[in-house]
Amino acid sequence: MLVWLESSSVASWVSLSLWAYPALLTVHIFGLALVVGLYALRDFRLIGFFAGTNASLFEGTNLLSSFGIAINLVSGFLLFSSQATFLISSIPFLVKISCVALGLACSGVIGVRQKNGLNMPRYYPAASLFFWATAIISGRLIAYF
Amino acid sequence: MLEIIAEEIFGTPLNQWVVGTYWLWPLLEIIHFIGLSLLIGGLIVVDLSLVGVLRSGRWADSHRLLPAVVVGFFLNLVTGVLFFVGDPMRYSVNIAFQAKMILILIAGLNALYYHHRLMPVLALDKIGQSSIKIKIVGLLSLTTWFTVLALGRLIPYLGTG
Repeated sequence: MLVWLESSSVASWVSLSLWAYPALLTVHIFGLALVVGLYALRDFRLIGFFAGTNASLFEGTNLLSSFGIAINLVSGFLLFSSQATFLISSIPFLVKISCVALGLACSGVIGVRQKNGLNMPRYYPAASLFFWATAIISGRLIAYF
Repeated sequence: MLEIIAEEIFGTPLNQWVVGTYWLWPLLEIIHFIGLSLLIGGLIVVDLSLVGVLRSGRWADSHRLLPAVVVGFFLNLVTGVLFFVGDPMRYSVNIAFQAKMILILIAGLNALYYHHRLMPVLALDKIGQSSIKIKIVGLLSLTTWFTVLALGRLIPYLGTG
């Protein structure tokens, strides 16, 4: 199935076109900045940094983070399609995807708790930071293993 | 001019160390990405507050994130210098790298202008939060840094090297 994906016309376009791959990488890092950037600062604040700031500081940023997730799902899938058979057996890649999923799950929990005015035990934002940092680290290591 | 600096750096002990230590380059990349997340994440909130898109009450609230932005910037400054020291000949002739450095300079001047000219006046309520100068500073900051991000990503793909 992955071989089929890799030889599909979309995947071929990604790997053969001069500009497609770099353009997708650029979109992917924009998404990274939107998602990890905003979530990391939100999480640092929930852990106790930036004392004195209002909880509403990050209120309007959810739309941006969601946009970042969307463009990274799309660009990520396209990037994946061009090297599917390699990536599926790449440990750093598998770790990255797992951490992205877990990071998103943490964001979900954090969002629900904030919306319902529940207390925020520090391990939720701490776990979120850990997962996103690991996602970045393993993402960078894909090229090396 | 960059090429002259590059030639001076090439072959020095620091250059040799970066080149020869196999685990260093990926580590520098990792730290560079963490730095950019702090820098841009923080600036998104600050700049969108300046532009007026995010309304979280007192404008000063978002500014409390600035230490994180500065930490991110310095992480990237250090790792960035080490990248250059590790491969000076490649970076010095790379057009994406050159453009990236110029834009960082512009972003820095923009930040200085805001900090020394606008912020003091804003604090004294002499100009309103909706002043057009403040919006321009915020917008310029966002666009330059996102362009810096793109150019950094494109270094291996644009120009020579």
